[in-house]
Formats: sequence, C-alpha cells, structure tokens
Amino acid sequence: MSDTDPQADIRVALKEGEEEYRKRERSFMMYRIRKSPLSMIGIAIVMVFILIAIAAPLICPPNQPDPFRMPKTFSRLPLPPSKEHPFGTTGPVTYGDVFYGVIWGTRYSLMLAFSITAICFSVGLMVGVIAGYYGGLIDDILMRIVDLFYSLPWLVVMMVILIALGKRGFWTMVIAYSILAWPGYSRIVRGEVLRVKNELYVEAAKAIGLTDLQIILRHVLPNSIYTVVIMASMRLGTIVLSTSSLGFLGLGFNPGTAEWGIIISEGRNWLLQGSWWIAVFPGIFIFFFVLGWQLLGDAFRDILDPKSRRGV
Amino acid sequence: MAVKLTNMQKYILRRLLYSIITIFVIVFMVFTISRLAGDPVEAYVTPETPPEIIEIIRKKYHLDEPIPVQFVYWVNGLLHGEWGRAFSFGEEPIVQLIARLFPLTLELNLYVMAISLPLGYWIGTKAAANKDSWIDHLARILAIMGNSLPSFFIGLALLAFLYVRGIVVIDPRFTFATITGMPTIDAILAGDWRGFIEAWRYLIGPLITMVFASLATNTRVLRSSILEELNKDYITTGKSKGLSKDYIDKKYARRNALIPFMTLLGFTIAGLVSGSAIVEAVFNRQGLGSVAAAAARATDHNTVQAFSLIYAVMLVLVNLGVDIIYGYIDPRIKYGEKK
Repeated sequence: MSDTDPQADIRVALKEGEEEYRKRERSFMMYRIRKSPLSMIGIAIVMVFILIAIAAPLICPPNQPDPFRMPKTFSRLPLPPSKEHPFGTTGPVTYGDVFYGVIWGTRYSLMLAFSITAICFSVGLMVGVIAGYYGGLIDDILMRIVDLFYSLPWLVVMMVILIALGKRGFWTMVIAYSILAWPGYSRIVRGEVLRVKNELYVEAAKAIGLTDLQIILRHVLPNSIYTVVIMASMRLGTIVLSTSSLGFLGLGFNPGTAEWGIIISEGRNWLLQGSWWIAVFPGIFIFFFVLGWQLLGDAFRDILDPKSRRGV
Repeated sequence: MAVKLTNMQKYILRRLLYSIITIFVIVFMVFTISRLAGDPVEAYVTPETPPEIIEIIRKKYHLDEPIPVQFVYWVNGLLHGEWGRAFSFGEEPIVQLIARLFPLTLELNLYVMAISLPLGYWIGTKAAANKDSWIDHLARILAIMGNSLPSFFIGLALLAFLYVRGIVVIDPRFTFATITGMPTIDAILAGDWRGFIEAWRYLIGPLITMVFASLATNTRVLRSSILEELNKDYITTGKSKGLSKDYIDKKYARRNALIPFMTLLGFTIAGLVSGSAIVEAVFNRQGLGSVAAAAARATDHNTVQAFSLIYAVMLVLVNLGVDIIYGYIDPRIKYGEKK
C-alpha cells in the first residue's frame, strides 16, 4: 500500500519526529521530578490518599445502604476518641463516626475531584481547541464567553445554581462546580493550541493535505494535551478545598455525609465546648490532601515553565 | 465629523461595554434561574388561596405577560428598589437587610486589604530580591500553608484559641448609634471606647484569618512576578550601567511587577467576596456572605437572588476599575498592543 501512497514516507517521518520530541519531554520531566525532594513528598502524600480511597471498604466496612453516610452511634454528647471510635463521634444531630467519615471522605473527595475534572477537561478541551485552532471570530466569541465566566462571583453563582438544582448531593455539586470551572481549562488549552499550531509539523501536515479534524486529532491534540493534563491534576487539590468550603457552609451536601467540610461544620458548634476531634481530624486530612497536590503542582509548574528550565 | 478617540479612551470604552454586557448577562441568568426554580406567584399565596385571587395577583405583578415582558418589569422593579422581602430573615425588606449587612462585610474587607496588600507587597518583593534568604523561606512556607489550609479551618483554630480566652466575641451588644454601620468607626464617632474595644473583639478573628489566607496568595504571586522581572534584559542593562542593586530592585523590578499586582488586586477583591462568606460563618459575623449562605441553606430564592445581583455588580465594577488602572500603568495597553 505504501508504494502507491507518495505521502506515506512524509507521514512516517512526521510521526517519528513528534514521537522523538514527546519522548524527550517525558524523560526530562521524570528527571526533574526525581531531583526535587518536595515533589517526591507531594507524590508520596498523594499516593497515600489514593490508597486510602481505594482501600476504604477494607479499612471501614461500608455502611449499608449508602456507604457515603457515616454509621450512627447514639450518645447525648460527642464521644471522644477511643478504641471503637479512633477519631471520636460527631454526637447529635448526625451521631457519625469521625474515622469512618474521614476515610470514606477521602474516597468521596477524590471521586468529586476526578468527576469534576473529567467534565471540565472534556468541555474545556473542545472549546479551547476550536477557539485556538480556528481563531478569528469563533475565537473572539468563545473567549468572550470564557471571560464572562471568569468575572462571575464564584461562590454566589454556585449558591444560585445549587438552590436552582434543588437537591443536594454528589452530582449536584459536580454539575454546579463544572458549570463554573470549565472556562479555566479552555483558556489553557487554547494557549497550548496557539503554540502548537505554528509548529513545523502542523504546517507540514497541512501541506500534505490532511483535513482539519485529522490535523487536530493526530498532531495538535497529542502535542498540546500534555500540559493540560498536568494542569488539570494540579487543580485536583483546589477543587477539594472549594467543595469542602461549600460543605462547611452547609451548601451542596446533606448532613451526615462522609465529606470533610460538612463534618467540620458540625464540629464548629462543639469546638467551643471542648469537643475538638470532630473538626481537627477532617481538617488535618484536608490540609495534607491539598498540600500533597500543591507540592506536586509546584514541581510540575517549575518543570513546565520554559523560563525556569535547564538551570536558567 | 467622527470624534477622534485616543487609544486610552477606546480602551476604557471597550471595558465599559464588556462590563455592561456582563452585568446584563448576570441579571438575565439570575432571572432565568429564579423562573426555573418555581412559579413566582407561590411567594404570595398559600395553598388555600382561591384561584381568582391568584389570577389577580398574577395580573398585579405582570406574571401573566410573556417571559421577555416579565423580564423588563422585573428589571424595572429592581431599579425602583422593589427587591421583595427576605423570607428566611423575619420578612425583613431585602433592601434594608442589605443596607444593614453590607457595612459589616465592607469593614472587614477594607481592613483586610489595608493590611494584607502592603504587607504582601513588602514580603513578596523582599523575598524575591533576597532569593533563598530566611525571608524567602518564610514567604514560601507562608504561601504553602496558607494555600493548603482551608480558611474555615484556620478560622476555627483561632476561634477555639481566642474565644476561650475571652479575646473574641461572637455576639456583641453595641450601645452606640449606627451611623456608617461599621462598628469600629461608629464607636469612634460616638466616642464610646468600651464599644470600640468590643467592636474590635468582634472584628479581630475574621480579620486575622482573612489576612493570613490572602497574604499567602499575595506574597506568592508577587515573589514569582518580581523574580521574572529580575531575569529580564533591562535589569542586566541597569546593572551594566552600574546602578545599585537597591535602585534596580525598587525603581525597575518593583515598578514592573506592579502590573501583575493589579491583577492580583482584582482577584483579591473577588476572593474577599467569597472568602468573607466562609470566615463570617465561622465567627458568626452577620455580614453579606454568611447571611447569603444561610439564605441559600434555607432555599430562600428571593434573598439569594438579591445577594447574587449585588455581589455580581460589585465585582464587575471592581474589575472595571482594575482594568482602567491597568491601562494607566501598563503603556502597552495604551498603545493598543495586544497582550
């Protein structure tokens, strides 16, 4: 077949060149990560959380029928940490087990973060690629929409969406959050596409007459997606910081859900009466979770930032 | 006889136009959502209300007209101060409620900005100019801590620590007259020193929490933007001309780092809007944010709508202001260069 196709050689050469470039980028990145102790700590923390999330059913047998609700232990006051309740209980009104709450809360938070990221990522990718690749009027219109979303008061719009959707819970939060967060991704994607668009291999692909869709799928996307994937992973921590803040404000999740923010908000009322454990344990979990992603993100940012590369 | 506009005027006009469009879209969005959320007539009736009366109410509030006409009436009502009542707050008229709460949020945010912007600017520039010194490490630790700890958690820790020691109060009784609505200022105006201390005890917890949280971002952004400036060619030129390090740091790098700082200012103000909701909730401070959250919890559509509009318009105006100042400090914008 390749004998009859005059473009085949060029295609193979193009593909090899690109692969070479990507391979070099990857190995350079791994080298930089291994060199930085802070990013290794970040990776370790993140790994621990992912392990906790996966092993949640082994650590705490799931509560039936909904594993994301804390099992109840009735008592007049919150129970302090003990053998049966390593992190104590929340007491009235939800009577939840704090240890169960933080463990399953890890799973809940990661699921939230991944779902939100997946939705924002796909929508943002589509919009960003179209805006960046076609440019002109399409770009102008799409980017104005993105700017508009940027200038919205975040928490307030979130409140409006949450009460408009009515029911609280996982998917309500995912939808409300995604509506607000996708524009951020499309901005990054667009920037990357603008950079890649002018590379020689794209010019070459155009010259041999590939269609727009082929160019986007085979050359633009694989070369621009890399940065965006990393950017998206950097935001996982921030997402959980925001969702737990909303949980704390009593928006988005039902009381008794194994979610860090809402457990802390219950702890607020008991804190002044000496029951510190309800707020402290989920707080520590949030801190390390966000810290882990942040260290990882900082490392990635330094690596990706061309100005700080190669010892400048 | 076309009027000749300078680049700056064109720029400001364009920004103004965007702001108007943004406000319009937000107003439209809030209207749409409020209509999606349920029949507005339900706010005025009980299940026992006879259908004839419902029809009269519909007529009276123009709810029988087509949706676009309803939208016009609704906006017109807003412009004439018809904001309805806050059902979750003892049916207090919303305009009055906002007038009461707004100064408390404003007071807090003004103090936060007055402290955290100059301080962040100072630490950020110092840290960048003396890279890898103790102040640089301090700034980095501060930034990582402040960005990883949720503000409600810092707030709770402070509350637990200061409340039991009697430093922070969460339900103060002010006896002085309300003039500006900001307790610390009203107390001075009334010459009530006991009240002044009480007002500060009401303010100090949220203030420290928010300064800490916003300082983290401020120093971080400034540090990196100044480091970036310090690596640029004009700095090398300055050095080769024999200018002192101090002169270069202050007159060259810091001045150019003002531009990202303005962006930061915009973000800070936007963040204060949402951030104060959380911190106010922690310390039981009855400001716009905590009351808006309480209204949302109680699914009080009317109040949430009103608050979102107020917030959105405030934020858009702030962004407009920041953009205009941008135009003045960044000559590239004035000469129409694309960023």
